[in-house]
Amino acid sequence: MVSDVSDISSTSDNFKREKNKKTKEWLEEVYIISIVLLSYLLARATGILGNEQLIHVGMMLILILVSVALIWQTWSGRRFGTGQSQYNAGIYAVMIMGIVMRIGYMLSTNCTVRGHDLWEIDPSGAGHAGYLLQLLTKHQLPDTNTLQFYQQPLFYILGAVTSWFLNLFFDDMTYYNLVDAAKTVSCIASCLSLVLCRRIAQESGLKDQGILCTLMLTAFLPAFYLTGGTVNPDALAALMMLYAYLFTLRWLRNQSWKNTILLAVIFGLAMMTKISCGVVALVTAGIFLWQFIIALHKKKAGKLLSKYLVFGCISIPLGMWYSIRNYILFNQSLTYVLWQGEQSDLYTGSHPIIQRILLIDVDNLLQGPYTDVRSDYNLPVYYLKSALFGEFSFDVPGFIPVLLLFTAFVLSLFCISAVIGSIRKRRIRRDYRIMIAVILSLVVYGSGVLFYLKYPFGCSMDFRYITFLAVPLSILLGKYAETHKVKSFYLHLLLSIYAVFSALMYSY
Amino acid sequence: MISILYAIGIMDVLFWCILFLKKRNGLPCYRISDLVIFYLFARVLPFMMQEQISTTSAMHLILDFILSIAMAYVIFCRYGRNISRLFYACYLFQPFSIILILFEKAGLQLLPVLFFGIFYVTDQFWKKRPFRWSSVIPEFLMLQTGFFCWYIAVRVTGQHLSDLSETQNIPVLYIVSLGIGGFGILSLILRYIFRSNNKLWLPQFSKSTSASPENIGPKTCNGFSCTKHTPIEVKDIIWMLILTVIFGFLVFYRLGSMRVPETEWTLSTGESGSNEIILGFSDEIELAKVHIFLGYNSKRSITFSYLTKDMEEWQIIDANHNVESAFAWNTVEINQKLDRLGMVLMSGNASILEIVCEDIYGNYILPYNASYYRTLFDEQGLYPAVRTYYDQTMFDEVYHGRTAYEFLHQLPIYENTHPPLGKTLISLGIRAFGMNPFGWRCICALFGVMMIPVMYLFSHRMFGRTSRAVFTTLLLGSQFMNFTLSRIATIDILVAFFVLLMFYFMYCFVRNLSMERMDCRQICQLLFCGCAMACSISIKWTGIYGAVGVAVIFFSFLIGKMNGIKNSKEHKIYLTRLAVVCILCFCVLPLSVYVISYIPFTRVYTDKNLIQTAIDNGKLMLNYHSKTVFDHPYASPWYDWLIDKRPLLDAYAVYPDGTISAIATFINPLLCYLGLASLVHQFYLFRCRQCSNAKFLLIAYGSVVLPWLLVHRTVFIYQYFIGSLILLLMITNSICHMKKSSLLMGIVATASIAIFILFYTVLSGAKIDYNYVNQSLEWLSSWSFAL
Repeated sequence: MVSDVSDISSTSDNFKREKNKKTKEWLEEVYIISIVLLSYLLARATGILGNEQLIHVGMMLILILVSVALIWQTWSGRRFGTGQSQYNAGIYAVMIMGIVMRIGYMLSTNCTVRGHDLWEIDPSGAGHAGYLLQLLTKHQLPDTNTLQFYQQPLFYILGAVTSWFLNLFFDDMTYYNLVDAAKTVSCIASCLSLVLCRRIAQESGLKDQGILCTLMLTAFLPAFYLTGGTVNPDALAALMMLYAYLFTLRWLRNQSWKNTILLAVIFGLAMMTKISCGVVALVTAGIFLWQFIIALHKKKAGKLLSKYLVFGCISIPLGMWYSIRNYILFNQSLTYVLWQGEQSDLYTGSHPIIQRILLIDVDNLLQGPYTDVRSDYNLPVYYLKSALFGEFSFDVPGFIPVLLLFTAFVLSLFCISAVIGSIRKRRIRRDYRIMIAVILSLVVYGSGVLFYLKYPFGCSMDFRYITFLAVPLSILLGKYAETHKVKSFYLHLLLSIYAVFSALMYSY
Repeated sequence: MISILYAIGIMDVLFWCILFLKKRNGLPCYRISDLVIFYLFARVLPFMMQEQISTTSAMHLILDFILSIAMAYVIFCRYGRNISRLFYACYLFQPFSIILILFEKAGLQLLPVLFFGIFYVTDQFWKKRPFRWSSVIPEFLMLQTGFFCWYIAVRVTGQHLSDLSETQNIPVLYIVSLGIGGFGILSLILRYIFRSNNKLWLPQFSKSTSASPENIGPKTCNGFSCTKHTPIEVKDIIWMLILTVIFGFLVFYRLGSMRVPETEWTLSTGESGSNEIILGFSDEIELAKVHIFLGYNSKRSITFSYLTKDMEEWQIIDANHNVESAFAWNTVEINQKLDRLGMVLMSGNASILEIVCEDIYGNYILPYNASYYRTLFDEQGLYPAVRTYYDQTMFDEVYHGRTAYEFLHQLPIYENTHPPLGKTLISLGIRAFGMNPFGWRCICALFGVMMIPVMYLFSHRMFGRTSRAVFTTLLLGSQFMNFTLSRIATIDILVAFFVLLMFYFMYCFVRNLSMERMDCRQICQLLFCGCAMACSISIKWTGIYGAVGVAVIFFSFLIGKMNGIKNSKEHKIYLTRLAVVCILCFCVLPLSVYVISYIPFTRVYTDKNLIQTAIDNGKLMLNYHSKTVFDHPYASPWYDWLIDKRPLLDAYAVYPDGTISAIATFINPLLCYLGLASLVHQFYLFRCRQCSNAKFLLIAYGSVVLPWLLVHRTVFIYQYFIGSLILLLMITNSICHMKKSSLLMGIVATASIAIFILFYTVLSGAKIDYNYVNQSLEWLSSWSFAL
């Protein structure tokens, strides 16, 4: 494993390529932020913001156009070109379609639709809306920790700034518009997640076919649309975790001061978005330890230790300051989460643990595609359903959600197979990048299980808390597609059907 | 219908699993005998499972047979023997035809021809492209899975095409079935377009590359040679003793009380005054309940009344109250202020062993005339505050324990729906320890404990190593059902013991099968096998299932051996001697023991001779068991047994502090599901590695489980007990064929024991916290231990 790391680093070609890449990466972020903000401004200026029908038609048209272009490219590629160009076209097409789905959903859905804990749209409210409006109107952090005010502030700060900026272009700066505009931050995060997914796939050593599979799963995962269209920190938290994942891989490849400081800042910001982002830090800490042991053997531990010190000095104050503030002011524990009480109708603690955590409730799967937060208690099935439909029901013909659910179910079986295969196969196990994806998947899923055990409520099972999990799993799925050439035909077909029904579901 | 659909589904899944497991060694080549067995399982068995077999479905079956043979012949002419046989096997194991045969219209029967036509044309078409049709097997599987789900959605759950666009009550299964079928078709089209005809899933068919039965891969067991026989050593005896003592301690620990009311007061409606009990209380009391410990007659009708204040008339409190359970405490709600309580037996005789009167404050009140009814109030201290399994009968003990008591005292026999030997054995315990829970349970416990050394010997004989024998025995000890059934006075543990013994001796015989001469050891093995068979059939008719299995094992191994015989003279002498011994051991002996077991009947009913009694009772049993269909909360069909779906709650009691005592009969979930996996693996071992142990175990398992597919009466999970015992041997056999088998055995045994410890409380009836049971032990939603 040690030799693998040293193999991958170095070589001057790699550095040149990396330099070009980084310029492009920076531009990609700018493009996406601009596209999201412009589309919001355009939609609001033309009055189509929230006009579901019109936006859905537009989304369908763009998706069909991109698909036709892709089919044309594939056909012409098969006849005249090479396989390489086909995959590249596929990757870009999938990314465009994913971004269209996210922006389309954000524009067509008002902030009050399928939201979570938004509550009163008034500065006196104690939900996400109240938090934002307090920042915008009073220009200060909440002076209590009641209800949602215990949340870390980064999303709200970014939301407030973006909302203020967007509303500068319009006359009607109502509370509603101020809150509604903040969803652009979530949408940007959701779109950037897709870009980061591609970068992580590349960083994990996946080839074109694998990257395509990875992106297809992530681009059309409705959890990203749903979190991207709501006013809460989930999408931003997922993005921050992805940045942490990406920069952990990069740090492992090149343990420069720049990468160390970047990683520290990212972790700080991630934990400033949500404390649960610290889950990735467990894996990063493991990697730090592993590298430290190697450095000890090479007698170069001193330099590494100083980097760790700087890392800690940056990330811990940045990530924990709000929690420590709340601890000092309100005696709020560092990992505080709102407790709803055993009398709540969302309480699931009375069901056997094994039925809640370990078994897959097939009966529940066959009863209907949507979740029921008050009666469901089986975590795996709820995760699957909420990844596709959140906690909501939709007014679309039944065959669309059912087929989406069952393609996703089969894909999740492929993902489980990919995780097990990665652990079992020595050749794959030796690739530390894939093993990081495996460990991250297990750690994030495990954290979800622990969270549900600690807070046994229907809403604790929502996939939005672990949306990040989709990315390491999709990386493993991509690797699976690369290593199982024979089965990849069915996997690609399944992913295509999943993409079609996912698009249909949210643009019907 | 659901039962048949389950059977079809399981058969198909098994076939395709084995086919895919075998694919590494090349495509399988089936013998004619294989196809006959396949036909029996894929067509005849589902056909026989119908409650009423119609002529139309019989005609459909014949038509299907003719059409399928014709199609196989066409394939044979074009592609040769191996491919036509494989085609026929694949054709048999698709649900489409059999479902049409059993449930649908005759016209649809032509669909197989259409299927064949499409197949043939496609084959021709792709051959030119070139496209190898064998690679479309995954799509074929998807289509048949889609059809199967569609059929269940339409016929069982009542979903329809018109509901497809529903937004509220979405027909999920219907849509999924269409999705699976559609995926198959789409995949087929795309693979044609993209010419994806490379090695997909299965190796290609060709006359030269198909595996022959003789060439079945590099690792073959070649009969029993993979496990050499080693004699029992001192360490084996020590292990056997240790395991038996440990299990014996667990079984006998708090098995049942040895002290219950014994002195009786008899009521009879014949003479005036002898059918009533009048209890007087010195002051007027508020009587809440009367607890009656009933003697050997159950379901006694008693009217309860009290004398009014003016002492003029008796006011009825509860007329014709049915005092239900024999040898158990029965509570009658009174809730009346009174000073005289009257109890009048309405018909027949009743034996009452003790009465306890309880007022509304929970105090036990002794009537002032208790000395007159001395035998009713002389054992008041034996009334338990909470009535658990420990102090009284549970589940079917009320029949078997009582009948054993009747055998002992030559009373009219109540339970006559099973042969008498089991109850005769139970009566030995009652004779030794009295008519109390320990007395009626101890013989079953003894036989349950004796299964430990039998399983050890069986496993040692089969796998030839101490470690494997210890492993199998540990699995048996932690199997749950063995433990629970050992602690209840029903006949299931007894029949299971003798069936296991029967299989053991038959296994010893087939291992020693030698054509040169018949030695004394072989005769003894057959004799012991016959004895065990005789006992098992004389305890319960389910022993016959095992006997059929033994017969199939005997003949299949004998025929296998006979193929290698060259000297025909010796051959004939051997077979003649064997036939004589077998007739004696497997016909004369079982029949004799069966008839002799009816002696307790002839002692009571002297009007018939022994043989006539056995025949008449046999008719009665057949009539009873063919019509016993009733609703029961713990009844479970055979397909639920395989997945341990519905445990049977034998006893349940709630303590005043909210804790509970429960006894549930079910299988250790680890062993149940591991057993299912190893069942599939046995097919693989048998087909691909020629493993004789696997063959033996499969026949044994099939013989004790498959008959239940044809039974339409209400059944329970304990009827799977013998099958679940064979699963344990299957698990060991599977692990023996794996790498790092010792490590695996260690892990499985540890996990199994850990699960046993976890569930011990609901297996033994120990006092346990309600929430612990509810939240930690009810693993499946269909499991209910805490009511």
